[in-house]
Amino acid sequence: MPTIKLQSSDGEVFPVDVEIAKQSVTIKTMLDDLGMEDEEEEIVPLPNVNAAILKKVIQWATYHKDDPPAPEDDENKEKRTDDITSWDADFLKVDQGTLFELILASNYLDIKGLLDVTCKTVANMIKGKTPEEIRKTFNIKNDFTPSEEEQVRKENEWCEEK
Amino acid sequence: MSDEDSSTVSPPPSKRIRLAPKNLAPSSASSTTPESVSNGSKGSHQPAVSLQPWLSYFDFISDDVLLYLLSHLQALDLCRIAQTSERLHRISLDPSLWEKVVVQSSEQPRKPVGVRELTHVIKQMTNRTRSVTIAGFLKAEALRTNLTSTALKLIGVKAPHVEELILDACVMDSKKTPLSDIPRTLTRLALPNCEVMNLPREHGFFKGIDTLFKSLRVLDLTNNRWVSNHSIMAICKLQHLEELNLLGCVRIGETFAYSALATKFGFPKLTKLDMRNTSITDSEVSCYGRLSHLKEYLVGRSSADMNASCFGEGDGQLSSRGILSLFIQPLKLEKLVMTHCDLDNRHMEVVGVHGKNLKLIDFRGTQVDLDGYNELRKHLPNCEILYGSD
Repeated sequence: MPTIKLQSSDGEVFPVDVEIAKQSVTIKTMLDDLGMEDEEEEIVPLPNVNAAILKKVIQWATYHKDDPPAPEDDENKEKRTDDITSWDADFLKVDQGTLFELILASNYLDIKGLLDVTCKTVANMIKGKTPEEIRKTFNIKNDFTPSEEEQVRKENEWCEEK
Repeated sequence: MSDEDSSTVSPPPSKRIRLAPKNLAPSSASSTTPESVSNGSKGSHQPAVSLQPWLSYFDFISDDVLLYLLSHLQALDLCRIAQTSERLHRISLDPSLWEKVVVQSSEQPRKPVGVRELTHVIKQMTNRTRSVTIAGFLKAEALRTNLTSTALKLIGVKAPHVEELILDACVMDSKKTPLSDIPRTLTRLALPNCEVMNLPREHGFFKGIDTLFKSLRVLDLTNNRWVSNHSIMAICKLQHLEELNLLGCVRIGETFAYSALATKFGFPKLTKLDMRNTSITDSEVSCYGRLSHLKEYLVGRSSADMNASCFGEGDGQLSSRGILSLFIQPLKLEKLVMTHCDLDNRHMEVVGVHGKNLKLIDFRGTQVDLDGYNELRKHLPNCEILYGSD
C-alpha cells in the first residue's frame, strides 16, 4: 500500500496510506494533477492544519476508509442531524475549539463526510435553544445597534412565548 | 489560505467553500473558551485557538461554511439564531436556506407550533421557496386550529412558486379555512394525520379541488378518518393527478356507485393508488385496479394490527373473491401490494396467469407460503415476490 507524508502547519509529518488520504478531495486532486509516482517520497505541506487536528482527521479518515462514496445529488434530501453514528459521536466528544477546527480542516481538505458530521454536531448544539442560550453556548456577541435590536425583537416576540 | 506559500507541492485551494481567517494562531492557553462540547470525557487536544472574551468560534469560519452549517437547521431554529448577532441575522436570511422550509418544534416531545411563530417563519419565505412542511403537532392541544386562513394565504403571497405543501397533523376549520386558501401553484399536497372541523354536510371538504389546483400531481391524505366518499368524486376530476394516497381513510369505500363512476370517468392520469386500511369492498377493488394508467396499487392492510375493530364503518375486510376479481382478465399493473388479505396458495395460479406485467407483488401477512411462491414463480420468472410475515 503506497503512503504519502502529510506535514502539519507546525511541522509534524504523518505517513498515511494514499487511499485514506484521498478521502480529501483536495489531496486527491493534487495527487492526480501531479501524477504521483509510487516511489516518490513527496511531503505534502498542509499549512492550515496543525498536528493535533491533522491527527484527528487521519483517525477519522482511517475509520471511514471503506465507506461508500457519498451520494452526489442530495440537494433535495432533507438534512437530518439525528443520524450521527455512535463512533462519530464519540469521536466528536471534544471541546468546542477542536470541533470548529475540524470544520475548518475538513472544509480546507474537502472531506465531505467529516464536514457534514461536524456541522451536524454544531447544529444539534443550536437546536431548541433560545437566542440568549445560543449566544451563551457559542460566546456570540450581540452586536445589533439598539434600533436593529428593537426591530429584531419586535419581529420575534413569539420566541419569548417558549 | 496561503496563496503566497510557494513550496513545490501545495494543495490547491478548496473550490467549494472559502475560509475566512488567514491563520489560526496555535496556542495552548485558553482562558475563555465558551461552554465545552465535551460532557465529562476530556478530549486529548488543547484547543488551538485562544479566544478573546468577545470572540466566538463562529468568527473563525467563513460565511460560506457558516451557511452550510446553518443549512442543517430547520426554520424555527434559524429564526432563533438569526436574533443573536448581525452576521448570523444576515446569513440566516440567505434564500438558499428558505427553499425547503420545515416548521416543527425541535424540542422533544414535540410541541405544537404557535400561530405567531408560524407567521414569522412564513414571512421569511421567498420566491425561491419550493417546498413547505408544517409538522404541526397541533392535535397535541385539543383541536386548536393553529393553521389559520391568514397563514395559508400568506404562504401563497410570500412563496409565489411553492410546489409542495405538507401539513402534517394540522387542524383546520373548514368554515374559517377553506380549501381555496391553500396556494394554487401546488403540484404536491399532503395532509397526513390532519383533522378538519365543521365539515360541510352536503359535500366533502375537497369540492372544487379540480378547479383550484389544476397542476396537482400528488395528493396524500394518509390517516384522515374524515375524508368521505363525496371527496372521491371531486378528487377524480383532477386532470393531472398521478399519485393518490388514501391509506387509513376508513370512511372511503362501501359505495360502489361512486367508485364505479369515479373510475369510469375520472382519474385520467392516476399511476399510483394506495387504498390500504380503507373500507373498500370486494366489488370496488377491481374498479380502481383497472384504471387505464395505474401501475402501482396497494390494497389490504398495512399491518396485522389493523383489524376490523380499527374501522368505524364496515368491517374493512376484503375477501379473496374481491382480490381475485382483479385477475379475471390480464392486468396492466406492475406493482401490486396485497398485504394481510384473505389469500392463499390456491389463488396463485390465476394471479400468475393474468399478472404477466407484474414486476413486484407483495403477499406478506397472507396464507401464501413457499408452495404458493413456487407456483407463482413458474408463471412470473422475473417478478419480485414477497411473502411470509412482515
